Amino acid sequence: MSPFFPPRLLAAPAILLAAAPLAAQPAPVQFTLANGLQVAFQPEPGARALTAVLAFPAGVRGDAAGQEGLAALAPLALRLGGGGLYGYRDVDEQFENLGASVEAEAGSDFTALQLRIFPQDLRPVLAILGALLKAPIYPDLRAGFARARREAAVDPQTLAFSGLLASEGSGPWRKADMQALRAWQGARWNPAHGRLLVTGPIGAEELKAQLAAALEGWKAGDPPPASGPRALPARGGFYQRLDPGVVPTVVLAGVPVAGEAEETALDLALATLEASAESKAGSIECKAGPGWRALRGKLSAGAGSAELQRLKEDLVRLGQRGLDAPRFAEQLARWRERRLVEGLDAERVLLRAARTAIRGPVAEPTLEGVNAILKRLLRPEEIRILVVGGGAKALPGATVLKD
Amino acid sequence: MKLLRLLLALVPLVAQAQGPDLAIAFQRKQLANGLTAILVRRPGASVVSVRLAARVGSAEDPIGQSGALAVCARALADVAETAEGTAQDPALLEAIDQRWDAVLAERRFRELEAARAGYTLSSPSPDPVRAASLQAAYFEAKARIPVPRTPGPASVLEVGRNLVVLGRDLPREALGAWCEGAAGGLKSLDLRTFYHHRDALASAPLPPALPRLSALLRQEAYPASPIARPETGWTTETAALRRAEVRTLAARAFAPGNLALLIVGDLQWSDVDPLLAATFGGLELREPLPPSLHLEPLAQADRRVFHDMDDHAAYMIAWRVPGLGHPDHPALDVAAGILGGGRTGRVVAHLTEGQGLARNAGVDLGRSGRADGNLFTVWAEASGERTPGDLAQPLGGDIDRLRAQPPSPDQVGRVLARARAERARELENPSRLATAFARAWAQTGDEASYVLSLERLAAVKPDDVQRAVKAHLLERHGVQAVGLRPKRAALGDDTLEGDIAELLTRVVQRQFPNDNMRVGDEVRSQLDQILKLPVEQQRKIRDELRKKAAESAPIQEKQK
Repeated sequence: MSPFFPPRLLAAPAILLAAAPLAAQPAPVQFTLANGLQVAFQPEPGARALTAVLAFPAGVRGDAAGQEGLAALAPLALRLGGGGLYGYRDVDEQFENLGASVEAEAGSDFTALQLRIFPQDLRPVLAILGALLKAPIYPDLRAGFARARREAAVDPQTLAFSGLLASEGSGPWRKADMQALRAWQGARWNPAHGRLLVTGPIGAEELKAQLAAALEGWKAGDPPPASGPRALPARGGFYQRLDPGVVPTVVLAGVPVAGEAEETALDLALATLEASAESKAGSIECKAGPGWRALRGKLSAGAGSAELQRLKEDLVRLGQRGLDAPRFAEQLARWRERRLVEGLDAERVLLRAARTAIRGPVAEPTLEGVNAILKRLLRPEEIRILVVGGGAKALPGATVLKD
Repeated sequence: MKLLRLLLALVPLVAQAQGPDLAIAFQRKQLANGLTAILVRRPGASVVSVRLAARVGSAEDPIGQSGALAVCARALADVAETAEGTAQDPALLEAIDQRWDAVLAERRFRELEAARAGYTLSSPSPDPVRAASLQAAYFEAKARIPVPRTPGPASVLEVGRNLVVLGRDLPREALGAWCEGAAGGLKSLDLRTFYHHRDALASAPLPPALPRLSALLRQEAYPASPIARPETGWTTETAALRRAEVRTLAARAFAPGNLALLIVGDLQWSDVDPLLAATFGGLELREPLPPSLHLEPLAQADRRVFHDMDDHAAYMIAWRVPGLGHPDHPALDVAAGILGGGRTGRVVAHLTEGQGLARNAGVDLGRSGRADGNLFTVWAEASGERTPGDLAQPLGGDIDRLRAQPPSPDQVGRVLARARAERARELENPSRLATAFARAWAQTGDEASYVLSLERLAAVKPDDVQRAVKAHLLERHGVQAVGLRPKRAALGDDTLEGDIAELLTRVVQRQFPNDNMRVGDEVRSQLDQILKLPVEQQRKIRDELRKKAAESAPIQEKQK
């Protein structure tokens, strides 16, 4: 068995089994394609459609210096550019004609494509997927940038925050060019290191044959760079990216996170601020991005830097005090509920299984573990505050970010 | 089954939707008290999804009591969640009622006094100490009722203009407790957490600008109908709601005849029947509130509303269209899909790509009931400095093309394929299935509206789409909402609007050098008009204003 495909993935079908709607499931099947792609398949005769996740252990925190943010862009660029004879518009039309869908996902340490396909349409959909993977056409990045933003429903603030976390300045999608994307994908989206998880109403042999035919020619390249998660410098502070097209009404305050434990801890903790009236910064909500967690607040008219600091104070206080037992218990109950609801959705189950395969099994959070993470991450020198928009003048005290 | 008199014994219905793989098998029965029970079996599922659907909505709120059903539904959901259906301390709740009534009486007395004195605004209380003490007494009593738990991800609560759906995804063994709580809440209708929810809704922050604009559009489209009110009510009315009044409304609104209990899970009637008998079967037979029908003549004149946005400009155009029971509804549904569905919708592709006029766009057919209250809305949020004027023409053009020419069979087929994919997701996910089914039942009281929706969509031909668009999306019936970017103060000095405002002020000042009041009026009036124009025209105006300002500068210096 490949060292990149540890026995953890065997747990993935078990996760599927736990949440699957039907009681008597056939045994899961694993096989390896000629190009090295490892496939885990859970036959599910009662399902109406096939669900698949193609995941790679390459996330935003693994990007090399000078190429920060590529991991967030690459899966979307693949999807938005097209491949082979299919332009992105052809991909959209073909998929929608068949009732199929393909979505891109990026995290701190993984990137993935999610697919939904009716079984009778597997062949044409795999043909398109094969073209995307074997001969990607990267989009005209100006147009692709707009499409990516729309598709990911990303607002300028969220996008800029990703950029701030990744490279202390530029939005990650503004820097990338076709060559960089090609190099990134060639090195990171290597079939020998990918994991394809599939569930649905199809025979294992038929799936294997169709995958082999469609993905033939998608060859394993060089091994991916050996770099692990990149440590970000502690550069907490107050930043503003000037943009005359955006009114500076939204502020984001957050920290970089890596891995399931940090993500979960921040999710639990920030939700307590969102739910309580404790924050002095008014109405706030939690936001999550690839490799970061933040609070999003609304700026009142004529807000100054003092007002912005209140969000930071809320976060620092949370880090120092941690969660108390009742709040943690409440959030833990919600976390369990979320897991239960996610277990009903085949795509989310598969994505979680893929993350588990990459990150290892996820333990239930504990109060001590969460508070230790909060103490480590929610420090003044780590917390970034970002405002996007405004004309030529920056808010007092803000470090202006430049593209 | 002694406690249950089944009016309709086990009616198995299997709908033949698009192909056998997307058929929905469900069973339905009606209890003696009129409550409908629907069971969708999912053998092997460890989770049960339960939904309680009510065929009422905020449109039924009495005049002056908007928000009543929204508050009521939240209080009922609390009881179901905590499985404490019966009142534990009626005296405590009555004490809060009395203290709130005292606050209300004092407030009304003050308003009456103010009105007598000829003031239109609230005047200070003639006895501020007493007013404060009444408030404090109310809050002190309210604090004795625990604050309700914030609903978790497994909870469902939806209150619309013509539907209420509440429920939960839970382990099978927890179903009994949930039903006990929900039925107990319906039986006692004590609405224990009423005051917590009422005060929270009344003090909720304003929604973001786009939903606000959408609400204004609805009010303009239905100026005299209760369906134009916000689901959570007008703040002042919600804040003044009394528990006793809402209980009276709830008794009829949530009468068993208006309710359906939907269960999706690994259960059979033999599991469910005893549960029903012990819980919902014990609800008293009451006369249900009849479905409301709000007819309003269609205005023919050009109608538009304006609203300041938080950041980007926006434009919406909407038409009143018939609801789910109308034969044209499926064709309008397909039209909405062709214009705004998926990634290939015409409006979406046209506005967000190419010139990138919009950062986001879409088409919304709303959630109509059987008969009325529906809007077909096409909307776009401008990108960068684009103005509503930039969006209006292409949006209108997309509708015009659909009026002039039927869509291609491929486009119609694509909408159906998307709907089939969505149905497949629902069939695989009990939670989605339960919510979609419950929602459709609440809106129509008819299982077929959900079960047969794919068949009805599949029957739509391209010509049907064109005919429905020509019949219902008439140009003269469109209502427009124009969302303007914030003015100069919010934008900074170097924006287009800022430049125009500054230059315009300089030019107008020279026309009326000694009349600041008039200058202000003129600038505001002209600026409002200019900001509605496309951005290219605005740039031209800015250039012209620059020239005018430069030409008159020496004159000003001479005057000095």
